Amino acid sequence: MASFHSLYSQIQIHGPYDEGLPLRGDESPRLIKPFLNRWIGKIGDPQIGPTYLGFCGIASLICGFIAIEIIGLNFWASVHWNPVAFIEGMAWHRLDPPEAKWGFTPFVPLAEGGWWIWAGFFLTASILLWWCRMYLRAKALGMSTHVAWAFASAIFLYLSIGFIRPMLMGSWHEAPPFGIIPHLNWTASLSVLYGNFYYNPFHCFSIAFLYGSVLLFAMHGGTILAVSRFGGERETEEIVDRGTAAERGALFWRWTMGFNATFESVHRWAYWFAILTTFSGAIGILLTGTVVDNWYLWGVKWGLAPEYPATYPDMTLPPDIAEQVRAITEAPGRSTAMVPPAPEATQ
Amino acid sequence: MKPISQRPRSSLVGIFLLAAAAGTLLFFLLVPTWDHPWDPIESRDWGWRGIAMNTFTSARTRNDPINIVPAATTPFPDTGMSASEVYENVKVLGDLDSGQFDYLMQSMTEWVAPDQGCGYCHGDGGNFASDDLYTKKVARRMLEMVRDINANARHVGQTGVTCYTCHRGNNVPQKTWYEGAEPKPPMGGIVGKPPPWNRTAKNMRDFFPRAPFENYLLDDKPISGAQARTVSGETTDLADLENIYILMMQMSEGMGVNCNFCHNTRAFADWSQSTPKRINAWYGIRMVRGINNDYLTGLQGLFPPHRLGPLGDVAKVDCATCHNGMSRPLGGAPMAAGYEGLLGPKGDRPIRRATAFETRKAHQAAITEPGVDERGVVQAGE
Repeated sequence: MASFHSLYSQIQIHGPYDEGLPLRGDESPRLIKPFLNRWIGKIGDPQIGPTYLGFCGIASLICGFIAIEIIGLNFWASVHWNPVAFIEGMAWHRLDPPEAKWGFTPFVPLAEGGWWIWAGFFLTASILLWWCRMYLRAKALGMSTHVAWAFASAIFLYLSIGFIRPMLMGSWHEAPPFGIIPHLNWTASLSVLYGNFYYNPFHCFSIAFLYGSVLLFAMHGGTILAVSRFGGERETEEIVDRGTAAERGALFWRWTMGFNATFESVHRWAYWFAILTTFSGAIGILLTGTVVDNWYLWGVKWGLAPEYPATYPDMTLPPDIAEQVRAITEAPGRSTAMVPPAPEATQ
Repeated sequence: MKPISQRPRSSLVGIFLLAAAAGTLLFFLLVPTWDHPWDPIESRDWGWRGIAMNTFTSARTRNDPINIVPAATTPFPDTGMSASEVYENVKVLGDLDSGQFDYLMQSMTEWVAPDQGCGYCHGDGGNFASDDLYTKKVARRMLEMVRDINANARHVGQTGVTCYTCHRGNNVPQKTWYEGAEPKPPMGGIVGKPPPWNRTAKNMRDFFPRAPFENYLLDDKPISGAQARTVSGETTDLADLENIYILMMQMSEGMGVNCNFCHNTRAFADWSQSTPKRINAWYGIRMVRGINNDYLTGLQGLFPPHRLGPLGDVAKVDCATCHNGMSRPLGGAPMAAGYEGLLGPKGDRPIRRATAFETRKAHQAAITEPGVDERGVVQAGE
């Protein structure tokens, strides 16, 4: 059956390889001899390669390799080089940051968190070098650098969690460990320790932007696929004519929600939603423990956390527990102004 | 220029990818235990409406053979003679009517050693008074423990426990824990501390670190302070916090409930928003400490090596040992009803002491207080 042959069709073009722009004089050679793959063609361009690494790419891979090696060998050493135990415990292995007593000094014995600092250093170097690569490759193609800056927003969140906030708190110990389950435990524990991240407004913003990104992606992707039967990708040619794919897409949204983004602005919407997901997340992280100790109490103070009627009005704490609660909340030198009142203790 | 010369390779890649996808799907369908779609998930709300303090249960846990209450047995008629009049060497239940005593002994056999029979503790020689077997000495101490729990544990209340509450027909309860070996840094100490648990783990549950159990179910390390610093008024190390978190998750898992069975999870520490279940859990933690410290640890010397952990310690209990995935063990069946011998004297017994606030401090003081020797000279503390 004939179908409209456009860039938005599922037709795969198998022919001579696209070699890309010629290399400039100062660039290193491209890697991977190109080949075509029909299965890859089902999810994207059937041509694989060539790729360009250059100095930043190679340095990034080396640093990344070192970081993974440090983490992996620490995991493996922790089971005394037993290969079976290494695989078995893969989800549980951990490489911890230095303990609180070390503060934020970079000079920590390897066994007591020094390896964590080194792994973090090389991982960060690897990520930053990869960022440079994104930036330079965009420049090399004469593009703007939007992708690099979006990536920078994610890197900012990563650095806020693992470096900037620990620095502000004066302790490596605030940073997450390496390891699959341990870093998940850290996430849950940190949220509980600082009074429930769900009351952190920047966590709320981050979630709103994340879900917003998903929604925008669905709306945009859906719209473009829906008008591809009219050649929707040829937006600049179509933009001035009536009845084209472009106009239908715009009209669809004006009919359904009264407002439509343009073919240009929808990409700005998506771009900023994506960037603000990680950026607002980073702000939320940086405020935690430095400016706000307890997000739940912050939420109570500003009316974010409502008070619910007591479900168990008759519940009274036995003296044993009431004594413990009092001992903790009335410890000398502690401000109890924001402590929720403990229920009256009765026999 | 190369035409479509890659097609055979492409097909291989495709077949491999499809096979891998099918394999993964099959793995996730077959390997984990799923609640079937035709078994409804039951939900119960513990908090104010609309705040999702729900507990989810399913018939799968309830109908697990391990959680079925065994059929009731008929008590033996009283004989009018005490056990010590009829039998020799009866140390704990001497005052009990011998009919009750026989009934209890028969039930204990069913609860703990249904396959081995009386001989598991009393030997095959026919001398029931003999204390030769370690199993009998352990059983006697366990009897004291059960009597203490039934008389003094607020956590258990009127429900009552028997050997079956933990043992469920096994010589050793299925869910117990051992201390993990003190980690020895490999490579001459260049590499960080290895976790002590991942070499001895046999299943998913074992893979969780033991430190939470050791800290909170053996030592009286305070569990408070996990909540934000301003609420609890104290600083908790993030590492301690992770241990508290794991302990709490083990409790949840052991009882088949969510966090909000006890807590309003928006403010874990706040008792005024918690459910009454948290009070019972608070006593439960202290009861477990009492059981581990005052009963089980003391039996260490009696057990043969194959019953001991990698560090030579006895198997110890946690919430899952009794609860086995249910919020009330065996659905809250009054297991001890009809067994006079399982109700001990009330009063200052280990389980009662274990629930007192700050037992650790008193305990510590007794340990570190310098002893006085015969000449009246105060010796330096250890």
